[in-house]
Amino acid sequence: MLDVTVRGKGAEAPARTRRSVPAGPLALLLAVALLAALTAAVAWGSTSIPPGEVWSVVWRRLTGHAPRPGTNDLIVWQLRLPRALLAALVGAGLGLVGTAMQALVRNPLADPYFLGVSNGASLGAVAAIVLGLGTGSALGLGLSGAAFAGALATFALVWAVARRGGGFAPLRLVLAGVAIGQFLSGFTSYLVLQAGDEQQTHSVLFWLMGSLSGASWPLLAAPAVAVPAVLLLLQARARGLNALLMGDETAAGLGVDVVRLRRELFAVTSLLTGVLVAVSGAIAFVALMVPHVCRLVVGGDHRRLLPVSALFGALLLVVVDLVCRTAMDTQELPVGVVTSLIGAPALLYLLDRRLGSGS
Amino acid sequence: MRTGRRAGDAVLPGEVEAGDGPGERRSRIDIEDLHVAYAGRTVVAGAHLIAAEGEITGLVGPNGSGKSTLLRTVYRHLKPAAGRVLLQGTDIRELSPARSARHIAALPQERGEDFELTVREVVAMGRTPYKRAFAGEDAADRDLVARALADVGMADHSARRFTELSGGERQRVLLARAFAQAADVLVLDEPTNHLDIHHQVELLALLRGRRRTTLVSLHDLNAAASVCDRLHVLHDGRVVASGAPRDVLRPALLAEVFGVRAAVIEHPLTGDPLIAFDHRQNAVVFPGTSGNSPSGSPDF
Repeated sequence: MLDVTVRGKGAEAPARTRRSVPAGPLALLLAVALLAALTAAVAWGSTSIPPGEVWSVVWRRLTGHAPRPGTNDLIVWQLRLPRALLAALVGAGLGLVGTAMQALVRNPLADPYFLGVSNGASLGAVAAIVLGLGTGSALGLGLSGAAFAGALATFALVWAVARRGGGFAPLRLVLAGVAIGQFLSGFTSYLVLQAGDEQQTHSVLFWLMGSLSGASWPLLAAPAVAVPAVLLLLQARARGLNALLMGDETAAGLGVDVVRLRRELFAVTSLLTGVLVAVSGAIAFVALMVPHVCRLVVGGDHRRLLPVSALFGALLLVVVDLVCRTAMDTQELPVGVVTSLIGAPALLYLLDRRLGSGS
Repeated sequence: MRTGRRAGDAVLPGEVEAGDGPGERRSRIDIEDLHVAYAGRTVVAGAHLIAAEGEITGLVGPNGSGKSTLLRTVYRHLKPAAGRVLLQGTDIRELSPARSARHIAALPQERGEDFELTVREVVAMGRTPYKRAFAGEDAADRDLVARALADVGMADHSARRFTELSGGERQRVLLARAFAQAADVLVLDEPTNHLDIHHQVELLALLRGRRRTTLVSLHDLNAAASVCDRLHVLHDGRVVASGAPRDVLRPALLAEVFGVRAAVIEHPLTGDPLIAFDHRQNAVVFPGTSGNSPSGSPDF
C-alpha cells in the first residue's frame, strides 16, 4: 500500500471519529438484559411459568426452603435454570475465547477453530458416542469427559508443533492449529460414517452442531469455575493484549514479555475451549462474532472489550437457545444451527464493511 | 503483564525510584561486541557503538547490514547471542522487560492490524510499562497522553481510528506513543520510510526538538547527515565507521559500503554535508575489499 500522502488530504477526508459508548453504563445495561433474558428463558417453553414464580422458586431453593407444593419447581430448578445458566456461561466463555484468540493470532477474524482444539474435542465426543463409552444417564458426563480429553490431547499436539522455532508466532500457531484440526475432523467424519444406527448418527450430528440440551447442575461446575477465572486472568493481561494488536516488536518495546504472554493466552484459550466444547458441542460463530460486534461499540481496548464481550456473549446465547427451544413445536433446533444462520450473514456484512473502508 | 518492581531488578545509577516521571533524565546506551542471530543467520557480528546522552545517533548502511536487527536487540524484541547492550552501564538483560521499557521507547516498523483502536488508545499504550494489572489510567497518565498528542500536533484527532490515518499522521501518533512512554532513550527503525518529503522533514524536526538520547536508523543519507550528531555505518553486521556525519560520509566510504559513486558537497542552505549521488553510473562499483562480503552489491 502506498503511504505517500498529499498535504491537506487528511483535512478533506471526513474524519470518522469513533462513537465511543461508555463501557460502564453499557455493561450495566447488558447485565440487566442478561438477567431479564435468563428469567424469560426459564419462564417460556412448553409450560409457561409466570416470572414471579420463577424467582420465588429460585429464592426458596437458594435459601433452603422446601419447594411450595403445586409449583413448577422441578421444571424451573432441574430443567430450565441449569440450561439457561449453561447458555450464559458458554456464551460468556465463547466471547472471551474469541477476544483472546483474535489478539493472540493478531487477526480480528480468528476463532477457536483456528487452534484445532474444538476439532479435537469433537473427535473425543463422537468417539464416545460411536464406540458406546457412555450410555443412558451416564452419557452426558462421559461425553463431556471424552470431549475434554480430546481437547487436551489436541492442545498438547498443537503446542508441541507451534513452539518449535521458539516463538508461538501467529502464523505458525494458525497453520499448526488448522492443519491438526482438519486432520482430526477427518477422523471424526470417518467415525460418523461408521456409526451403527440412526440414533447414534443423530446424536453425533446434534452434538457436532452444538447443543445445550444436555444441561444439568453437575455439568455447570467446570464452566462456572473456568469462565470467571479466565475473565480475571485476561483482564489482568488487558494492556499486554492491547500491545499485541500493534505487533510483537511494539509489544516488546512496551515492556511486554511477548513469548510468555502468548504461551499463557494459548494455554488459557485452549483449556477454556476444551471446557466449553465438552459441555455444549462446537457452537459456531459466537466466538468470532461477539468480540467483533463489541469492538464496534466500545472500541478495541481490552480493558473494556473483555467484560463487554463476556456479557454480550452470555446474553446472545441465552436468547438464541430460547429461540431454539421454542421456535418449533415438535422438536428443538441445535443452537449451533441458529448461531450459524445469524453469524454467517453478519460476518459477510462485517467483511464488506472492513474491505469497503479500505483498511 | 506484571509491571511492578521485581526482586532482583538492578537499580540504575542516578535513577529516581519514585515517580518515574518525564523529567529530563538522560541515559546513554553502550553496545559492546554485540552478536545477534536472526532466522538462523548471524546478522549482527560484533557491533560496538555508543549512543551518547541527549544526542541523535544515526545508523546507516545498506539493506541487510543489520540495522533493524541491532535496534530490535536494544528494545528487547531479540536476544543477543553474545555481547551486551548497556543502559547507563547496566546490562538491559538484568532489568525486567517493563523496567527497561520505562527507559527505552521503541518505534518499530509495524503498522498494526485493524482492531478499532483510536488514536488516543494507541498513544495511551505508552503507559503500559508503568501499570500494574487491573490499574486504570490516573490523572498523570491522562496528562502525559494529552501532552504527547499535542506535541505531535494530533490533539484534535484523538478520537479517530488509527488505521484510517495517512502514513504521516500514523508515524506522528506512534511517535506520540513513544513520548507518552516518558523514556529517556528513543529507538526508531526507519521512521521516515514511506513518508513524503514534507512528512519526513516534520518527523525529524519532532525528533530533534525532543532532545532525548535517540538511536535511529535511516535510509536517507542526506537526512542522516543533517539531523544526526553522530553516525555509525553498518556493513555486514559490523560497524565500519563512526563519527560526525561530515567525517563519516566520504566518497570512498560510500563506494566501499554502498557501492555508489557520489560527491560530497556543502549544503547551500544549511552547510551540512550534502551527498550528490551519480544515478547514471554505468556499473555498480565493487571495491571488493570488505573481506567476507559476497553480498556487497547493494540492492538499489
